Amino acid sequence: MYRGSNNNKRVCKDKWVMIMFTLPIVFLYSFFFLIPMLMGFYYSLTDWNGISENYKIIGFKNYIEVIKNSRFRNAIWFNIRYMVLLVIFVVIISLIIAMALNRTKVCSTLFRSIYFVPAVLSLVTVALIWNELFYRVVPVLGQKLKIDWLSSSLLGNPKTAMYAILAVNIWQGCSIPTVLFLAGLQSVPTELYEAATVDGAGRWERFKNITVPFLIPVLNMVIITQIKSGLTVFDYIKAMTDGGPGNATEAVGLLIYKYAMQENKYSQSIAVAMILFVIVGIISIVTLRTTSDKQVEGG
Amino acid sequence: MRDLVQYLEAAKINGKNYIMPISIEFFGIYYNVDKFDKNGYEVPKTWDDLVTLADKLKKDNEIPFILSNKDSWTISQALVFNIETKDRGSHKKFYDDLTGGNTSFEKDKIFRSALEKTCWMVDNAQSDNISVSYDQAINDFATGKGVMFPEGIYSLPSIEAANPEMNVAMFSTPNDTGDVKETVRIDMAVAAGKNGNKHDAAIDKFLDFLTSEKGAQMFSDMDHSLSAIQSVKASNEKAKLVVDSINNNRVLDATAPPAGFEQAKRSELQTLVMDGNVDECLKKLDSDWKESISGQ
Repeated sequence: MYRGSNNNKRVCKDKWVMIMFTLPIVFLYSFFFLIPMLMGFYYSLTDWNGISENYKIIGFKNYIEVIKNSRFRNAIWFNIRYMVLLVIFVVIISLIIAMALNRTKVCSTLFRSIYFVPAVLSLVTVALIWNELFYRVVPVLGQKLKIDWLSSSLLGNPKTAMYAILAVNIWQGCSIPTVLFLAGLQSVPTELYEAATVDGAGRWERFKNITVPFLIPVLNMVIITQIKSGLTVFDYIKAMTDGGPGNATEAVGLLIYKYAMQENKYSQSIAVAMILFVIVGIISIVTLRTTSDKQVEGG
Repeated sequence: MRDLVQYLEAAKINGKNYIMPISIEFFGIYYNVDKFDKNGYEVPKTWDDLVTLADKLKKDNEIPFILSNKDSWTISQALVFNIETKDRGSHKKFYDDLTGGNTSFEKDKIFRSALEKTCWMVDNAQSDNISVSYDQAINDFATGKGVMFPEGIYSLPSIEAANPEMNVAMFSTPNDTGDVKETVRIDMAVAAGKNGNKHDAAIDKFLDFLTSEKGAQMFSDMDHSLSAIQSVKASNEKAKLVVDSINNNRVLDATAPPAGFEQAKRSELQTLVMDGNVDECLKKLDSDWKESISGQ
């Protein structure tokens, strides 16, 4: 029997199996993402307002208008600040919680469930609940503690509104990264820690040289998802401040919504969305390249 | 109803009507009747009377106004529109003059006065009004936190739901002279698509119901708004003072500003509520108006 022929047949069959399994997702991805994106890009080159029958192709005029608009620049600056703080706090807080949960032996399942609960709540529900907390509960605490800036709703002050929304986002945003970090921590071989301890490595050195390299893949995923989350934040802002007070929390996501749904600037809204897509893409690529050489290769 | 007939005529496109108004909304100031009766407060007939009333309320440790300035649409509608239109009536001439360059927000005395009065109301409202949403304000007013609540008739069902036992009524927002124009607007209207529709029979049946006395009466009973359908009797006894005034001085305002302007205006008005800078707000409104008409 010619073994080579059997091998070729098996490889061919494997390829077909792979194609058949991949085809549905390719179809869904194309139908729900690629095609709408290409259609959107086309409309961003027109002056369509979203409802009229007729429109003209105007080239990249929308992109130029958007970039020149101070509202867009303010929104981008808001998102950059928001994203940086979100990434830093979510990574640090989730890692600390995951490390604590990793050491917890008593009622560990209960504690893990408690920290995971925010993940199952809808974003808008969380935002509306926190709306009431910021209005009715937090000011009472502020007045008791005699802290001026905490004695009225943080959402009503243009200087604190962003941080209030960020706190809610972090509260909910930490739940899934915590679980992911916990899984990553449990993949670290314990004999490495033992060997390092024997060699005299301290806690920080063990963390930096053993724990972190094993966590890089998870860290990558968390950082990229939080970057995307920070740059595209919409639900919390819409439910809590609608971009106010006075445009203080007008993020790019909200600008896209307002342009498209409220201001009849549909083609400009797509131009904003395309620019945001490019920004998220560039930051993601840079993040991946920066961290890829630091991770531990699979054994 | 003659104003509605004129509206329908003006709303035609290529000689055909695609829109049917159902309900007519109006604005005023809700007030806590029990507190008024208990302390002998009187319904104000002029703006000066309202100022005097607010001073009395503050002396009696009451909050004169509950406002929901976190939701910028309420600043635009329940405050500025509510106050401005008592002197202006319909916006048609004003918007035409703005577009034609014959006037500006900065030059317009009525709009300037409305913004100044809005700032006065904000100063006499609950201290954290910029943090309060529409739903929270309804709740606060219905539970007696403040005595007056400027809003539209559409808020009445929500106030009643928040506190069914509240004794609430509405009076007409006064102006300087007491001789107000009771401006009303079309609130709910229904439009049908022009062609290619396979469900014409079903659409016609639904529109027949919506515009019938039975359907429109049902809507008006729930909403308390006036109806655009002739035979419907609106049940808004709690707004009797305003409705009586509407019957004498009704003006229909059916003029829309350029697309996008209302959103920009709401943002500028929310900034005004925070900084009280009327001049700066008027300048920005002029700039937003020019941007909106150039985009059309």
